[in-house]
Amino acid sequence: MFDSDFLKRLEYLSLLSKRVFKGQLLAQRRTMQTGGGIEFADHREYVVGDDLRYLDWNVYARHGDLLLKRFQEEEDLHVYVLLDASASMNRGDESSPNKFTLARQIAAALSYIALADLDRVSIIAYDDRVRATMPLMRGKNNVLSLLRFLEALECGGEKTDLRAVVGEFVQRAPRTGLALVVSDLYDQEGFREGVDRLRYARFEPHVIQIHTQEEAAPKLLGDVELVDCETGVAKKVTVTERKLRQYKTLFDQFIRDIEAYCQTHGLSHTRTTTDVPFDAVLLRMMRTAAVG
Amino acid sequence: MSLASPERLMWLVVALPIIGFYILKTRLRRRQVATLLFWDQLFEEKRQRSLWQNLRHWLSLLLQLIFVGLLGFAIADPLWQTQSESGQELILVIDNSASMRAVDPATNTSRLEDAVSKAVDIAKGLRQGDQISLMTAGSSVRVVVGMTDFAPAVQEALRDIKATDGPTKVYEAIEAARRLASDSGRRRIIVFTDGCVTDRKALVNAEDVRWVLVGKPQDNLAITIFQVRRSTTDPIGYALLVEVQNLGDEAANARLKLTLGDSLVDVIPIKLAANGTYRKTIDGTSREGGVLTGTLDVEDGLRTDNVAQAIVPARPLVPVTLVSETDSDSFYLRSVLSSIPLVQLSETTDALSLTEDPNRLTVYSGVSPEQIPAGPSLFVVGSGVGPKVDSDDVKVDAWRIGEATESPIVAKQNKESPLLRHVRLQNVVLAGGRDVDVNALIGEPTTLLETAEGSRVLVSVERQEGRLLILAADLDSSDLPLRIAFPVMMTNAMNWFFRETGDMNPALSTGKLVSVPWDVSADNETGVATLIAPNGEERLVTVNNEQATVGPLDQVGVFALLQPASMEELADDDVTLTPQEWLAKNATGDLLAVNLCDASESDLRVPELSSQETTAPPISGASAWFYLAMLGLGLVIGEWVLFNRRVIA
Repeated sequence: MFDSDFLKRLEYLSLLSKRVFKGQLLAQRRTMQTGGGIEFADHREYVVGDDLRYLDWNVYARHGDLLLKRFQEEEDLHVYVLLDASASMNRGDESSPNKFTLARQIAAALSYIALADLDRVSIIAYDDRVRATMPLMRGKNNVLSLLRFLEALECGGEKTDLRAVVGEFVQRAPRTGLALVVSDLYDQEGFREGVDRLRYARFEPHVIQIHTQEEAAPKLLGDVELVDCETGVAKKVTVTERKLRQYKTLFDQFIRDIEAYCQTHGLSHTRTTTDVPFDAVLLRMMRTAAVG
Repeated sequence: MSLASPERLMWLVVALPIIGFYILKTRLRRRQVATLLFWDQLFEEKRQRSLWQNLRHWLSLLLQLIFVGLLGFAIADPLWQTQSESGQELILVIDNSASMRAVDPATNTSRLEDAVSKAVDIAKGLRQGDQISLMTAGSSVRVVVGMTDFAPAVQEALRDIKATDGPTKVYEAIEAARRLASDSGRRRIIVFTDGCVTDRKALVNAEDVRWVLVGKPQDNLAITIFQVRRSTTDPIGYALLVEVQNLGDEAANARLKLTLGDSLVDVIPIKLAANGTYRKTIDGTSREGGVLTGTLDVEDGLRTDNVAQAIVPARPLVPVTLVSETDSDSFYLRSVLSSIPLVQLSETTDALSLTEDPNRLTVYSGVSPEQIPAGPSLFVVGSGVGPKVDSDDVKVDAWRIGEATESPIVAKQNKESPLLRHVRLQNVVLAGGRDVDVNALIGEPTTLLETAEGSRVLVSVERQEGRLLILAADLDSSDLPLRIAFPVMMTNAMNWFFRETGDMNPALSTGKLVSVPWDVSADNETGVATLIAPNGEERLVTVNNEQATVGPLDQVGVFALLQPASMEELADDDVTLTPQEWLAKNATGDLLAVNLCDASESDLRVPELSSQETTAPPISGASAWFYLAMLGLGLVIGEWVLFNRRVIA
């Protein structure tokens, strides 16, 4: 999955991302935390015990006030990739790759870009709970271990529950940061609560939705027994042309609802099908971000 | 209930693949999907509906099996007990008259073909216990196939039915059919006709008769009368009466072309209003005679009635030789013979100098030859000695003349003899009348006139070598020559001698039984004559009292009525001769013209019957539920096609 060609395309994307975002990305962002930086941020009252090196002597000389200089601290960004590894992601067809494969490629690419920018990256694979976690790591020298982690991941689980996973994740995450949710969003209970909890915990959620063409426009007719690949629930239906048209209407409504939700809360949303290469997906993300 | 063909129940095995297909159908294809979110929204089913969905498959199978069961039983042709006990007697009457030759321009099929097609359909529906027969009602009623339960024989016979040129005889056929099937309760008569009959108002369905009308109405021009007779003033003249009818609802123009043999006689332009009639008498003369043909130059629905023919006999000159005594002038006899048309009279006093000629009439007035010559002869004898005949090498008198009677008044007259036609001689004084006693050796004598004393004064003799007429009277002193009856009687005698009346046989009509004068030869012992059809086919007709009974004929054209004996020497087994060819070979006989000449038959406008009269016959065909089963099968097949189409798509 992650061959040399893939790595070349990752490097290209990394370089491209630097030009596109021009200092707005990841580690070059200033944190709002004041600390040991070099750029002045604010003053505050001196209290006993403060380091006298940061006392603003000029202010004291002019006004006699003891004010301590505060500086904006530069720190690296934390990027969390929440990768949906539920059974529903293990879908694909002859003409396009597996959803989970594309999801892992996208996750690898985003992680690589982050590592290249000296950001910290963590990957959390989940279904109805956190299945595997790659701890925070920094630097491009960790790329291979990241790829090995992704390659070792497998789909499974009996349901998808982003809400429960986010609850667990928020408690574990040492710091807030970007939270990239790579999923098909087929949560039985709905994905919105999970994303909302990320927002409430001051993460910056970024939704990357993946689905197959077959899921958007299934090619079924006649009497069939549909089986949910996660829950195993079966459903006997007679699919007619009319029902297929209704299905497409429902699916389009599902997409529109997600877009409306993300737009309402100022979230970035990228939707793709599995027949689109991962680098094309990332380029589209970059263009969207640049325009925005 | 019994089954006509129980072996056909094997078709019920069709149910097996249906059950197999059903199992295949109910084993749903399993398809894994990423989520059921959308499908759940799409199929928000209530429990009742789900139950119906399950039952629906079983119901579908049940219906299919019922359909197959019905179909299997339908093919096995079940019969109710009452049906098998009271089978129908079905009589198909096919009208193969001339009008059934009419071709529908739209379909290019003749009415007869349509009728046969419909009849075959009905014959195919014959059920066990039923019987069927086939009759034709063309120029004659004919039972083609008697009562049988083997429908294929009727179907085969139906296809062999040919149209005739005769008029329809459906009413006679219906009567014959009723005699054929006497049980009125079981009898069903179906008449396939175009309704071109004489009495169209009688086309009413009876209890046992159903009419099936075929054909579309067409306009038609027809020669409805074409008769020729001898002119009353000219012995070689003739008068033709021709009638042409426009049997259509629009005016029409045509040309009537008349030919006699190969010679054109006249071309008459005819303008006819709708339903109009043109009638005309045309006079002509011809000594040679021939076939007079009238042809309508028009393209219409029926061609048979556009041509009509009549026979104009030839009138050759008749050589007559009067042999008389030297001192006798035979004034009356000479005058009468001279006055008879076409007589070519010659005279002589030397009976011995005459050569024998069978085509010449020799009149002996007071003179008797030693022997009776060959050929026809008229003897007017007195008291002298008559000719001799050989009898066992001994010459005996051919006849003996009796003594003169005092008052030879004619008391008895043979009214049946053609010699005395239009002649009344009773109570006429026949001076010099004597009894003629004819020797049976020369032939069979017939007494024509007899006096009150019993003297046979006028005797005819049928003789192989030629007919003889012997009159024992003195014409020069008798009242007879002064009467108008004498030339009439002599003219009759001329015709009798040469078996040639000069009269014309009327043109016959197809489909009718007629008597034709038949006086061809003295040898009528066989009592038959041979009728030669235009295509050369021969058939024998009976002859009785010099009348041949001909018909009913089913073909128009020129026929020949020939003496069988005269044909024997001329016959050639390898060649079929036409009537004209037979007569050209000098076979003895006459030509007969046969025409359709039937306005009812030529009227191709199909009558309209009321709905009751056109009701489809309530017989034959399969049961209604057979068709329902077929419909059901069609539905099942359709359902399967649609289902498979969905799955394949």
